[in-house]
Amino acid sequence: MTGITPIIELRDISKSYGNNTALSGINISVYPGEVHCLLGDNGAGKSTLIKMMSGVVPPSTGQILFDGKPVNLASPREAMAYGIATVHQDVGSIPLLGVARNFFLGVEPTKGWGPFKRIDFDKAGEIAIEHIRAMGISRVTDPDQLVGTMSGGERQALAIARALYLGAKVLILDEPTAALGVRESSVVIDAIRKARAQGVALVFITHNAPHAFAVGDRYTVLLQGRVAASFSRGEKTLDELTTWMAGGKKIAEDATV
Amino acid sequence: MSAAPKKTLRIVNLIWLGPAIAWLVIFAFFAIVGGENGFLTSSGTAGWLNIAAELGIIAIPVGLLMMSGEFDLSTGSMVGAASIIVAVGKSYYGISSEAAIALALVLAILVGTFNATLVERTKLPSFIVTLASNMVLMGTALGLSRLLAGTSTISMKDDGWAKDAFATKFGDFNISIGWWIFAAVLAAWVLRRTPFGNWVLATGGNLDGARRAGVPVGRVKLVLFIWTAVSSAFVGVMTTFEFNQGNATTGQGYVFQGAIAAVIGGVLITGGFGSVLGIVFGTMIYGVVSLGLFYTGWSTDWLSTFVGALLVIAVITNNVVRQKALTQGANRK
Amino acid sequence: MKTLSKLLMSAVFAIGAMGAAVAPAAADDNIIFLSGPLTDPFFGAMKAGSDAAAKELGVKYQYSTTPDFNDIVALYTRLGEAAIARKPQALVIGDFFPDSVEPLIKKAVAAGIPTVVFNSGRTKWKELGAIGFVGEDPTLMGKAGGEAQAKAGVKNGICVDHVAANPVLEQRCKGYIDAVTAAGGKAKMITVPYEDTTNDQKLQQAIGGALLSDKTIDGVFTLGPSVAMNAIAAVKQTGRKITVGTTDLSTPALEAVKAGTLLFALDQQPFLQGYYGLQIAAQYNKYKVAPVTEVNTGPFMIDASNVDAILAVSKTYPGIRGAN
Repeated sequence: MTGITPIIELRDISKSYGNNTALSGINISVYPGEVHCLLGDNGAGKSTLIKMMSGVVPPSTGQILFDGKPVNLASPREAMAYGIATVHQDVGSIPLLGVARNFFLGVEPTKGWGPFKRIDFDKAGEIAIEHIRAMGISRVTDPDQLVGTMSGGERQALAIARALYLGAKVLILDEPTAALGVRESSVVIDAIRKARAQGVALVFITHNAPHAFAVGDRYTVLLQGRVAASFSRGEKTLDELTTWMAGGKKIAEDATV
Repeated sequence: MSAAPKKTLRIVNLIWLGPAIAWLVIFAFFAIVGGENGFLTSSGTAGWLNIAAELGIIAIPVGLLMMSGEFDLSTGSMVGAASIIVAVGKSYYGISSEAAIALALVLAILVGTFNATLVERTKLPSFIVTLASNMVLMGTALGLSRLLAGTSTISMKDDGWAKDAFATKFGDFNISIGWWIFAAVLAAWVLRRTPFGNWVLATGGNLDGARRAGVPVGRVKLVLFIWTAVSSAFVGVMTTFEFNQGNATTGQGYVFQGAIAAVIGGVLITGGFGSVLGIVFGTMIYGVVSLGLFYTGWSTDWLSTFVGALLVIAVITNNVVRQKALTQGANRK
Repeated sequence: MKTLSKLLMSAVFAIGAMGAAVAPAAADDNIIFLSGPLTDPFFGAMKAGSDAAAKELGVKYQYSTTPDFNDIVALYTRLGEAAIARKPQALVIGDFFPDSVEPLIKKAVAAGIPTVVFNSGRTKWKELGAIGFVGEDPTLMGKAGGEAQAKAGVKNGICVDHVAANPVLEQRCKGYIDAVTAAGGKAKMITVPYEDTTNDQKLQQAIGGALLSDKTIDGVFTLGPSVAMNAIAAVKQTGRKITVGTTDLSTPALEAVKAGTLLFALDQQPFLQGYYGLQIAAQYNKYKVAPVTEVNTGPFMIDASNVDAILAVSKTYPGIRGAN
């Protein structure tokens, strides 16, 4: 991947809250068209890292580069303006609203003029269904179907489809498979693959080694606020990856004694 | 399944059907029992419609606000305060109808803004915040009215345009019914067709989700609180012109009747679900029940029992409808 | 501009006066007047009366009341207990809720506090040891209404109780029903839920419904001037000849009496209850004099014969007769 500029790059990032150091000396590069898996136990610093990339908290020291240029992500809004989108574990969809209404929430397409300006439901429905299908969800065909009737995996896919439609260049997925069963997880993994195929950079946070192994291009393992290991697809087997994650956990436990 | 987007009849689009059927049943009941006593005459019909119209103008925005996940219990005092402003302004200070109505509406905007701001800033439940503003507003309206006029009930005579706009009668039917229809069409349009309507349901359905999706939830609530206050003030102004008197304590009944009509009409009390047509039928149910009893010749002591029972049935039915809506189309294999 | 400045000045005055109203009063040389909420114009007139008496007699007194009718039995009782604990020079108290107020009156009398009973309690005041009673008899009030309507030819009347479960209004209705029945007619009572007590539309349509449901009804007796106006509107809708009469009054009600749409308004003259209530207490304190029988302030019948004079006074002194 040398020669290609990372879409987002963290250089020597650290973050401390008072005397507490959450992250230190972090270097991560995320490339377009790649799935970058962020692994690590609870408290390893994953959520602080996500918050930094999505503009929720600023780093204490170090630099964030977007497309090769240093940027200051002062707010989530600013991060979004750069095309950095986050899909949370609970997705944040509105169960009692239809698919199209959810897909376009906050950015509803309108037609008509002045006081007669109204949502263009035909357009909204068509685009929403098309983009959800592009994520591999074929069961949802009615734009009025309530999101509450969709499965957890389908909802993740809907959120990913929405982020892509809204022009996301970097998509941060915060443990999207954590609460899902096997079949549902595969729906999400499938959607991640389809998003990658569109050239988007994905940051995939997970606890699950098989999931990471299935779809990851690059891996960064965090341990107590530091990068414990980073490697590319093919450099480690699933067993090694699993051991690494389990081992990381072991080391972390030893270190805290 | 075909690849093209397809539309089916969704329960979520038929929230109004339950209240409509309930209204039909209740109406039929009173038509049978009270029909001979004049319930079905034009005068009898006008009777319950006139009551429903005034309640309905308030119940609609109260319902929208409930869909966004908030309550407004200050509607009652807003009615009384608007009524006092118009009566004192016109009777004691001789200001024009335009000025008096404008003052009442400005106060409504202030009250709505105050409610919304306090709810947003303190994160306290709007139930408590607006209950407090209801009492503050009622006390102030009463206190000022008694200080300025020496009484809480103030006569006011007007034969100008405002009397025509708010108190015209077509036979026994009040013009308020027309205002109610206008309020319903406007609200239904906003809720079903505009982005703002989508935001209202999203704000009540999942506040964090809506906020993350970029919905200005604070502004949504601000608009709805103002909408509710202005509608209440409108009813206060209207009844003042109709009955030629202002009363600081009038309207307190609307505090809960508005919410009851909305809930009977299928609005989910926790937000995110409801329809304007449903609220209209809910209000009509309230109108028929609360007046029908007077046509039966039975003891009217039992009126509240009827309404209470109705409310329980409505809430249970709504719950079932919502569950059905959430399983429809879920055909998991 | 002139009106605006007038409005502003009044507002400033209002705020000043509100401040004065909440200032704590001295706790020893007062007469305490325990009355009903000022949300009701009736009690507004009563306070005007007691204010006038205090001013003319040069005595200090405190007008104590609940904010509104909510939970009034418990709140009124607690206010009474607090008043007795302060050992005022005298207590003026309404026996609105005999079961809870009468023990209070006994307690006050036992504590040596001269007590005047007003408004309700005419059959019990002597037994309780009070020094005087000024007020009305709700049954007599209803009876006067029933008799007047029967005389006007009413054969089938309804009494509108617009404050459900209020014992005084129920007694008035009973007095009315008994009087109409005694004259050979019949009558019944209809009630409106508490929360709609001030909902004009609801009251008007409810009365209209009752009138439509029984075509032989030819008399309506209301227990408040506002409801009387609703009844007149409802009667107009039916197009039938129905006689309307009411207790208590307001300017529109008086105008209706003048216009002939309202047969009569029965006044219990709350101003006088306030005035005499305070006067009896003050004069007893000073001279140990007190009336030996009940002082009756009502029912004072206002009909076509005397309405003009009363209207004139109501315009000069708004609020003196109750609702304006």
